[in-house]
Amino acid sequence: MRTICGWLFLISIMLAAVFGLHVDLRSHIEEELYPYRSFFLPDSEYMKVASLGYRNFWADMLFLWQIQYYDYYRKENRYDYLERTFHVITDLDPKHQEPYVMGALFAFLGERWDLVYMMADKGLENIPDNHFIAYDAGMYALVSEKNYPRAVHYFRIAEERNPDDTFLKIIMGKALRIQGSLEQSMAYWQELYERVKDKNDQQSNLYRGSALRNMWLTRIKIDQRDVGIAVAEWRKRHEGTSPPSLDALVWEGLLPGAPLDPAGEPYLYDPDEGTIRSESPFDFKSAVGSW
Amino acid sequence: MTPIIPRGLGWIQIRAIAVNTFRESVRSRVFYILMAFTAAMVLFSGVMALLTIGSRSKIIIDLGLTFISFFTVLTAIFVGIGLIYQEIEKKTIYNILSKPLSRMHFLVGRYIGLMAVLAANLLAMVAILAVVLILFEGFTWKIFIAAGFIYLELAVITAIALFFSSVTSPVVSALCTGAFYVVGHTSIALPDMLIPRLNGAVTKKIVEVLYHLLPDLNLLNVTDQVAYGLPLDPGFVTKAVLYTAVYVVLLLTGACLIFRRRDLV
Repeated sequence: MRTICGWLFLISIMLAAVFGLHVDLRSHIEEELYPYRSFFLPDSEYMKVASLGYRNFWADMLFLWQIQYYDYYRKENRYDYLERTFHVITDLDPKHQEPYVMGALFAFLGERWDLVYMMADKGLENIPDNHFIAYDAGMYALVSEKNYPRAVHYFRIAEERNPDDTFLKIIMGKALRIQGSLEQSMAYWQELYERVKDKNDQQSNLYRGSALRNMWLTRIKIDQRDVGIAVAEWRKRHEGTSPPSLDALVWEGLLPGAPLDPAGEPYLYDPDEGTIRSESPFDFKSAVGSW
Repeated sequence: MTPIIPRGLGWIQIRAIAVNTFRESVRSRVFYILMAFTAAMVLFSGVMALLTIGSRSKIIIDLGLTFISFFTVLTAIFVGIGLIYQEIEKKTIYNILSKPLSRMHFLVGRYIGLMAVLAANLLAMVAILAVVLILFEGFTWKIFIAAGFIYLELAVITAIALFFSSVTSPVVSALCTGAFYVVGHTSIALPDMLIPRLNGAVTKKIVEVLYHLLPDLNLLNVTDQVAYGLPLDPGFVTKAVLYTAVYVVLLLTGACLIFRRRDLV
């Protein structure tokens, strides 16, 4: 009995030692070593040979590791080796879409825009029929970086590769409008409207409503822009004063006629600011139709 | 001296040896340990797929086929290297060769028997992979095409293992076969990485010839085409089968030539 108790005591001490050492080693690894692990990743050319033909396998393993590693927010320097890790993964398996998308996401979290677009460009080159990577990069440019020309560039690629995607027309129309390419934006909304005008399913009704609503808004934007140009020219000619009315701009030959809003009503003109606005409500219900 | 190819093809003798090899191999502990480990790893690929974002079936196919390929190659090496040597060591070969059967029949029978074992092993593993893919709703019939290509690689590796097994001891055979396996998967680097760094046109030419003569096992790996659902050119498939067949016949002929001269005492 005494012998058994002695053994149990010894085992308990050893288990306690293992527990304590594990806790200590784990904290040491996480705080000091963990952030530098990717530093030891060999380059793509070496990995291609060392993978012994199992390139996809190693690319997948690195990709799974990348997801866990870059998800770890405590690491301050976690973006240092993102580019290298990303290149190794995508050189080993260039046709896998997700590493480009996830790599761009991690780069976005670090606000490394150069990396976001570099990853997208590499993905678009390596997977010539892929449209999602272009769409994804376009969304980063549109929503996060607010780099509208770049957003339009990626959406155009996505559209070329997937011309039947109706949702892409909406995004493209919005990006062009924000960028200031109003006529091009209007063309997208009209194309979208033509595509769904005779359909009566729920999705088409929603798209039709979106197209009409955006055609409405874009029309107003175009008129506001034209009036703004005319007002600026008026101010040049009249020592900085604003025109008293829109008719004054027409008489001066700066506008072909007083513009009407999409509802056919005259715009409200603010003579102090020299701007116009529409107070006609957009009838969303009749535009969308039945649900 | 006995002729390399005896009169009559001796299918009955070859079949008898092959059946015996099959029975012997499936009783091997190494075979079951590796098979169990492969099965566990294929199932594990399903767990690994849970860690990914996006296409899970792609990860399962990549990991599953890699595990199957790697562990069946290990099976081919570990079972293949002992096939001839053990018979000599245990002196059971005297009993076999005293029958109306040539050494070529013995070698070819051994090879066919082991290939049958590996086929059974491969089929079982691919079936498990298919079940995992069905569970993750990513099943594709193309995994069987990839398995066919893994089988071609196994045919070459087994022939190499048998060749060395007929020449030397199991440890040296395992090392040599392993070396050929590594060379077969890394020779792709020779034209781009090694040849440009060599001095002398003759040396470069020798390495270039070696590059074309060494077994190129990467040619027999179609995992990425299967994972991405890309089509396989029928011409490529035919040539790959032919390439494997020529290599196997070459190695078995070499093994027969050496083995018929070998002093078994």
